[in-house]
Amino acid sequence: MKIPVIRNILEANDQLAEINKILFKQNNLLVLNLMSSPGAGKTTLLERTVDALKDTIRIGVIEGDIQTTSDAERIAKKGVAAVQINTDGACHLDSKMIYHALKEIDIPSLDLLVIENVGNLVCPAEFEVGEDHKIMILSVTEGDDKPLKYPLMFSRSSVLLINKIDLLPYIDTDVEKIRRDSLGINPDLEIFEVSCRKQDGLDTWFNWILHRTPKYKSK
Amino acid sequence: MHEMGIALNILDIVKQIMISHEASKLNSICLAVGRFTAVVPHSLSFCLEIITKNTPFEGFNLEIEQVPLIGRCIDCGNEFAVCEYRFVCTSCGSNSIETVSGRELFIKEIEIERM
Repeated sequence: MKIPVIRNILEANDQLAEINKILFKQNNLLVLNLMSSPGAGKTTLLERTVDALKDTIRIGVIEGDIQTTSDAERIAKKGVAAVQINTDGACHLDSKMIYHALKEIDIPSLDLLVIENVGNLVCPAEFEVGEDHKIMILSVTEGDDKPLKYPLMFSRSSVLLINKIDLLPYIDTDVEKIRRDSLGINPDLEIFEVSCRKQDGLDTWFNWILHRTPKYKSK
Repeated sequence: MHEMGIALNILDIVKQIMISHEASKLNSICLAVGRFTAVVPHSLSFCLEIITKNTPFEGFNLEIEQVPLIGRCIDCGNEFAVCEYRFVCTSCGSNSIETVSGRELFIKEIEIERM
């Protein structure tokens, strides 16, 4: 006996992501899902962002890692609320993990929540967590072939930060190729070239956030 | 890498349907998996095999239909197969492209035996 089904395999995740989204909207919160491969500079970007904006908007961070609490400790040192999720092997955060982490964070007291996903260029792009925007970082040392090798993440993101541009004199990466291939996949992608280490090019990123933070705009 | 989680989701949905139809045996599952998803059919098949081993669901036939990545130009209406993830119209060169297919990730059909 054949039964036609037509059911989304990720329906359980998508439904809980919708509930997270309602919680975020009710609290007038901007939520960013930060994704990259390991070592591209997610936590350093977060440290710079917190330093620059914490006196202007109230920031909270959810840190996703397979193991360790070192990233949450790095962020907590900056004086903002940080919760660590250890996925115990899972290669991405899902909406259920975020839903449970929200119990440990006082979201009504926040303007911006940044979710730092597990370092991985593949899986996080497939799992909605209820965020407003997916943000991805690609460091120039990873090479200019990444947009075409991992197109899903580029297609789902609102912003691409090309990081470590201070290293360009020492490597063969073609930033124009990264721009061309990324925009071929996603013409709406906003691209910022930055160096978190040298603190170059970050002002446009900080302004991008402020202009999308509901509570900052209404001030 | 996340195919195990996806396999568990599939089995959850299949179990729900089997219970609601009072099914006693699972003969087959047919999935639609788009080319523009982060799912590797071979790994998914392997994971489904592992999680159903020594369970009442063991031994079903898995069919995975891979759905091609097709774009439609919003400006001129041209539908085309997207090659190398270049979302540029092959007819007019516009980059306003909507994805017609390729993002599918769903269970199409299952075949069961009733009690």
